[in-house]
Amino acid sequence: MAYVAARGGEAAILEAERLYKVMLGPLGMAQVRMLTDHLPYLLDRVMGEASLYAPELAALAVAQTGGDLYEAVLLLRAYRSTQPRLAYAAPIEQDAITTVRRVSAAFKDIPGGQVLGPTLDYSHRMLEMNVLRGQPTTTNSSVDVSSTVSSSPTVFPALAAWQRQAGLLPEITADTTTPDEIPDVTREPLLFPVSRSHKLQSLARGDTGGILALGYANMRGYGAVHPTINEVRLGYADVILTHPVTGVHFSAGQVRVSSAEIVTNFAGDPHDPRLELGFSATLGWNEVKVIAASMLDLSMGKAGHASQTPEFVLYHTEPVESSGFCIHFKLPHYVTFQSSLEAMRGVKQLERADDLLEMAEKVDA
Amino acid sequence: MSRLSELTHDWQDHSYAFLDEASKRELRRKILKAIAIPGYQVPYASREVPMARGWGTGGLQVTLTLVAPHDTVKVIDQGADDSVNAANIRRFIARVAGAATTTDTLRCTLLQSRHRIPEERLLEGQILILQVPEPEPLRGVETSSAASAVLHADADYGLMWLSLYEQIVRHRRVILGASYPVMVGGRYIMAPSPIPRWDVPMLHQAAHLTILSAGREKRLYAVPPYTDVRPLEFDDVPFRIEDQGGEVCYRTGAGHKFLNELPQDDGSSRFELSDSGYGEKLLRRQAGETVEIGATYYDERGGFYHDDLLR
Amino acid sequence: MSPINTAPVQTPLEARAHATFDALMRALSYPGRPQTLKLEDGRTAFAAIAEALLDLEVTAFSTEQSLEADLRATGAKLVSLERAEYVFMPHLTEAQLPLLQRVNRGSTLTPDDAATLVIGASFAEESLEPAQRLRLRGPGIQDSLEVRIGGLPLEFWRVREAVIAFPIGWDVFFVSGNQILGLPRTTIVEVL
Repeated sequence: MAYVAARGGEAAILEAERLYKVMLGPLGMAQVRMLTDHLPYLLDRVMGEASLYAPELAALAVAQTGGDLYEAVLLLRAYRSTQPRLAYAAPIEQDAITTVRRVSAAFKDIPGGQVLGPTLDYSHRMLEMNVLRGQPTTTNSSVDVSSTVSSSPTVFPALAAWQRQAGLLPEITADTTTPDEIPDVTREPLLFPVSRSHKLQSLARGDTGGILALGYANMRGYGAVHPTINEVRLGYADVILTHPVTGVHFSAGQVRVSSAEIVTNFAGDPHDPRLELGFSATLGWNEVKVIAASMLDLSMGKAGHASQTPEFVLYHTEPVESSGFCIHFKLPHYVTFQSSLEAMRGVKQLERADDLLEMAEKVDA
Repeated sequence: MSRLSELTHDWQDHSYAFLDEASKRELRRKILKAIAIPGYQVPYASREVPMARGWGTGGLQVTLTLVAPHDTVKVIDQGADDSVNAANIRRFIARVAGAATTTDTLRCTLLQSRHRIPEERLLEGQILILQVPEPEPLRGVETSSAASAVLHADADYGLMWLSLYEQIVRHRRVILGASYPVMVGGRYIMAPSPIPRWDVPMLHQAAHLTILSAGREKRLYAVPPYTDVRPLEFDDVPFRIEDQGGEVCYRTGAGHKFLNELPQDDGSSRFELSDSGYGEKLLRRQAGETVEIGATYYDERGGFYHDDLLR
Repeated sequence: MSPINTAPVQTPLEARAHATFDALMRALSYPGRPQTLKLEDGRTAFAAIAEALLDLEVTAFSTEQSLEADLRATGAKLVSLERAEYVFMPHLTEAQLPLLQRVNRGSTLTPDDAATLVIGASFAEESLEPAQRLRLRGPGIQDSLEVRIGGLPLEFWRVREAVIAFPIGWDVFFVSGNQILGLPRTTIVEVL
């Protein structure tokens, strides 16, 4: 055994993991509860990228990894892949979402009205230093927000529906695909040319930072699209299941969702131009991601920069794949390195032999 | 009709060998397809497993599908059983599948490997599972996977041959190191995974089944036993394995085996066997133990066991 | 992290499906070499193969109604022959031969779309039925291998040769009692 034991690989990895855990400290329900109570936007981001809506598990994943989000997403995805599929939920219609925030940049006012809802958009981004001096801010529960909620309706139509009626957007025909027949990117690999469901699903579980980077590249000038935000929406959607015996539709619970519509003008027939719609939705409230993703939905497939090709966008914004491949370069590669080194030395040897031959010829001359 | 008792079992944190039956069934179907179409990359869903992508998740999913409690598993990385990632994968397989583990190539039923094939010949019935980072051999000449799929469909490999030709024009030899492209069954160009050129001939007319799996890229493919696997070469520029320069392993004295180069403080190098399981057995035999050592692909004089492949 | 302290065990169903798949994989890896399935309680090899491979993600077709309950139990959708990914033919008759031409053979772009056939035959040594002598060559076979397969219309071999244009073509598992024999599309069959 001496030959292998000399390297101590197995003991080393166990010690390394132990050291990590010691530095992180003990883990308990207190940390999990702190995260679910106070960092909902962080958990939303993780749940969206994991495509698993489970706040408590997401909190555990974040706590267990010390806040390393790529690790947290991987933990949830790995857990997700052990779970059986019990049923298919009904599609969520935009006008059935209990909406707490919906803003449009396209019109001053829209059917249903602009609903600012909870947002930091117009906050002054200043650290609340008083907290550090031991003076907590007033907690959420002590603020009476009932007036702002009751003053507006809780469901709103999609703005795109109005634009369609007004002939600004092309008509769509109702899709009769049943939920169990929708291509599912968690059950089959992404193949190109990509189906629209795979495209939207991949964007929904894409890496927030990656989606933003490529979406931004498109917005900034690498894309051919000049977008206007039709609407950005945050809300709660019912997960509607069909009872397997009685056939009754019922809500299994609500999930936080966000969606964005983006439009660009002068699409289609140059003599009868229309608007063109980009759409994105994801689990959890993550406005940056759905805006950037709807931008990518719109620009993907248009000839141009790599940031517009589906293969480039969807492969490279996959959080688990991209982060995993990036860190895999830490693994030993000495066999492959040795092999290419040998090839390089071979070329050098050929050159050296040439040089010697040339010298010999000169001496002869 | 199933009995109710068959459909229930005691609570377990996850299924046997981690993957649930549905995931395993998908992999079973895809593995059979891969065997039937040697060298063709079969797309599969590739579930997330408790290891990062790029760290052997493709190989792991295949191993977890194939493993049973009576199996004996060997895992190597760069040829070594005790490399940290190999140790980790082996520990995981043992933990979720209760299978025995070994460092002895002759004793394993399943061998998961990253970047190497052992020096001792694998036998009929053994299964080699190679971890694959990049399954597409044409990626270097065609970045789009949609376009390269069409090239494979048409067996249109002109770009690949051209790139080899250009290397020869430029450097007077093919400068590819590991992951040297091969032609499988005379039909598909295949990436043999980043094994050194030394290992490539071992896939040709082998007694064992090889399954190659890329978890991140979601493709798996196979080389059935007794299948032609020929490295791409020109009549006048034959394929060449790595020149070991006459060096021998400083611990075992073994030559004509793939060696790791170990840089020394004085600017020189010394060499050791890359295949740690084989090295261990040689050392034990030298210490007087009775050890069964299998026939190797390359003999003591460097001759390869099939004489129709290396020129 | 909650440690998994003990390795989970295979349920009887998992163990059975795994063993069946192992035999299928070896049958396809070494064409022409019969593999033995462990069958319990009078289950047929057809039902065992369905259990190991099929679920609600795939489609199936059977020429015999008696098999449909076994197929349906896996969750697989029973569809027309042309759309089926798994085709079961327990007793292939002369009259059924034209069906073989309608089975999905895949395309050069996606040869993995081709169907897998499970066909009743007789190749067990003790079988009394007249059998055809065949010589097999191709991947999985060292040089060549002579086998005897009976219980099939002789024309089967001509039809098979006509539909296969590698990588297009289908793969077959022959079933004889508790034995299976694999014939991937790569196997070249010479009728002796």
